[in-house]
Amino acid sequence: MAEGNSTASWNVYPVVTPESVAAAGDVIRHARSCGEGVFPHGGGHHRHVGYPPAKPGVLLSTQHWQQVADYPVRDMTITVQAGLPLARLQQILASEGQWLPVDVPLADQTTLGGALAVNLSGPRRYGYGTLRDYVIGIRFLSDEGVEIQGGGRVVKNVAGYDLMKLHIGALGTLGLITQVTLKVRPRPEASAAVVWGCSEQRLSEVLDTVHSSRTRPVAVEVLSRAAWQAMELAVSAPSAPWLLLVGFEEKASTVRWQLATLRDEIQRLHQQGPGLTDIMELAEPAAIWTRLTDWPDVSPWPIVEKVRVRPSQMAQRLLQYAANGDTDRQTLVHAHALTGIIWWHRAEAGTDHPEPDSILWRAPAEYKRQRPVWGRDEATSTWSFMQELKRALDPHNVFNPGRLFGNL
Amino acid sequence: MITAAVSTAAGGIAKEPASASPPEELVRRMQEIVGPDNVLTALADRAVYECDGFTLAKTRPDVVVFPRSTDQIVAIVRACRELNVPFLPRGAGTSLAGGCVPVGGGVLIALSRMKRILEINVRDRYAVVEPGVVNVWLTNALKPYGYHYAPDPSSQGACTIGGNVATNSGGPHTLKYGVTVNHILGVELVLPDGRVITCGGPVEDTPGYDLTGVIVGSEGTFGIVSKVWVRLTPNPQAYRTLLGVFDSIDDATNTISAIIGAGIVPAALEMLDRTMIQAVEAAFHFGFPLDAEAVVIMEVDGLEAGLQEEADRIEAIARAHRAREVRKARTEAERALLWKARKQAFGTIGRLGYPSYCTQDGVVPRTRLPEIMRFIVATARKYQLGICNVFHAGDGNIHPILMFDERDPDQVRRVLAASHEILAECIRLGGSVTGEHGIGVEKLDFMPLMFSQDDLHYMVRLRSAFNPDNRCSPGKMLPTAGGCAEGHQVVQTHPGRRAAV
Repeated sequence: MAEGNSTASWNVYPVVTPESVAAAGDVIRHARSCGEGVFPHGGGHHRHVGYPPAKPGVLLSTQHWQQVADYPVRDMTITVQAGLPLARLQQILASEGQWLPVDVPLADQTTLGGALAVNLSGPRRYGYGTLRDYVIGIRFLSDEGVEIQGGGRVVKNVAGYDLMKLHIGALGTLGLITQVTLKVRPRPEASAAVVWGCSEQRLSEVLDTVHSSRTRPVAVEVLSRAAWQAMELAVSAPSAPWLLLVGFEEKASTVRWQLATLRDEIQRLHQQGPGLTDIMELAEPAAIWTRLTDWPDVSPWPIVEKVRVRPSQMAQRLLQYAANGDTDRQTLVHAHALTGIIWWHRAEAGTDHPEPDSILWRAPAEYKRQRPVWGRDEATSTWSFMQELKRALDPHNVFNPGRLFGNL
Repeated sequence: MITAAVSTAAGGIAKEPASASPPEELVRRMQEIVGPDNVLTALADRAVYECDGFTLAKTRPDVVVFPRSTDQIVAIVRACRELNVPFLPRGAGTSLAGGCVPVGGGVLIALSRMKRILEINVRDRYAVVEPGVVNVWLTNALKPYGYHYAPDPSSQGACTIGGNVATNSGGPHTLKYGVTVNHILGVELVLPDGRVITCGGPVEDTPGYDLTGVIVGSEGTFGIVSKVWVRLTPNPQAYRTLLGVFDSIDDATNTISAIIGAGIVPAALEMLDRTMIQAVEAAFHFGFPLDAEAVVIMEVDGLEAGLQEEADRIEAIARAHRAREVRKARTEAERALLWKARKQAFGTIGRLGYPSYCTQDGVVPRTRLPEIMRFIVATARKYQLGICNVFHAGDGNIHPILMFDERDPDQVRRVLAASHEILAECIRLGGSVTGEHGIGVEKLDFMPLMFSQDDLHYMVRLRSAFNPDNRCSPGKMLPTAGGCAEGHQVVQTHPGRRAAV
């Protein structure tokens, strides 16, 4: 598995696995009193995100916290402990015909708490949004080792500050998430996905067409041919430098109409000139979404960048990577095309300058020392304000010291 | 607040705030920043800004200023800091919870002149607006593109995007589309010390903390939002809008629960009870059945393909729960009239013959709707009050409207006691005391019932990170240590008369 921050740097941290939330509070208070850190530990698959730890301390495992506290099925909400792996959560929901419509990588091990801390997502975020759209209540241990509650268990609630948002994407630097309440959805009746190939020249036009399509896809992905091959998907792809994957999930009749409509729309482009292949329907779209979701965390390439662009600039940026790429190797790049997220997998750092809107998702420690992990955002006054917020809510720098802001 | 209101109302005398004329230095500084035309100082002018839709709490601001740019807001808050006076933002003042009451006086920053739509970018699915843009203006501006801004509070003809951001507003269509925070991509915030930070923006997944998500719904206590990036949503291709007519409230609420339980995600499920139907029918002549105990507006939207089968399923569920009749909006005009009747329902309450009314905003898990509705009926009987209901049933977000005569102190007392009991019951059933109106000053007393002292202490720490001196929107959202925040600074006068949700 990927170990962007070297394994050695984590091996020195003892793991504690408290049975109770109260016992975890004691661990936090103890760490605070001796100036050490507490590193929340869920599935352990996303330690490569962010900077290396900046203090001695302990890995605090949430593995004992997997209880379902409350699942009022007909209210379509569920309250679970933060150590529950996503796959297990989805199983529980599936038994009632429901789901949390967020793609989370390595869902067998990734915990809900970990998914929130890293704000994980995947292809279907285009249709369903991200975790922030589904978390309606939270409990966490503060720097004082006290359990704090925000939100509630109803789908609509504006009492008090939104402490849920405070923790999503915070990389565990503001507290240890102990329990989460989610609003969930009915599972869609049908799902389908299609793939077709496209030349460099027509990529921009194709993306514009999908954007203005009469259909409502849940996912619109673009992959370089090299990326498709590297992922070893169990389906053959059309022969073209770029591949488009579009997914639909809805009532069966609605999905059928969308497949036919998109086919017509792309067919019309096809007739206007060369560079497009026929649309093929893919079997087992769920397996493909899983592979695309996991890939940034499991690809064998040592450097993975997450590039954030406006969706309208997507084609131009993808082509730029292809043009600048080493001619001996094809560029490994895939993207949530209409969301504006590009994943760029690299064998080596190379001499090309990284884009300022790129986040270094995964990289060897020595490369991380050479450039800001979070890109140009680190130079903004907003970033400074975030550091103030961290100091206000965790003045002793107990939670995941160093991981978000480096060595402060 | 509610207890304070009882005692004042019973005492019967409302006092004016102490300062009759604003401090000269403050006025001069404000005039220098925005020009004399953009400053209100006369007593009568300032009186307009002493409260919002929650008219139980009133405090007159010392001065009202109308900035036209972020730079002017910065200069205003810096001057307030130097002169040590509080300030707060105000949009259209449609808050029903006293969110716009200038507790402790000071400077009221009225954002209604920052009303430009700065950018519409359909390809990247966002727009940039100033905080004073009225909600419906944005949706109107988007019509030619086939897009809209999804959150549609019933007050959308008046309320501003900035106000929506402050309160994390909802509306009838939140059931499918979510509330304000789900549609805000970023904000520019003027911190109370005058620094400006840009949070989020048109590009997704900003690294670090989701400041945008924390600022939305903070009721103006973190700073002044001076610019907003909003998500644009493509218009649905088609709608099916049904009206279920029921002879009992239980049948209506059970239908709602069954529709959700069947795995359907309707765009809206809105309920009106018998009393509300009378008022709305008198005003709009829609043809609502006057003898029904409840009607439910049931709407599905999306792609045309498959939509009819979904509507048919909803109709079948309603009939299985003894709907007397299920009507269908056959034209866009019929649908528009139905929604007009729903969204302007509050404006028709005057027809019921009560001089005043007070709107509540509780939430229960949606399966508990039958229980809370029975409780409301029983509470109305217990306190001999007129109560009518029009609300977002699909979300479990109730809006009981308590009707009374504000000239009768005993009625006022009963209204406040009944409100309190209904909201306490919402908490007991696992819900919340506010789904979309906010805590403001109205519901400060309930915060300790929903949150522990540790929770509230943590929220104060969060606020202090943004607003260390509590100079920005003091006395809102969080009670002070004593339990009832700065209650002595709010002059209680008459109970509320108007509302729109």
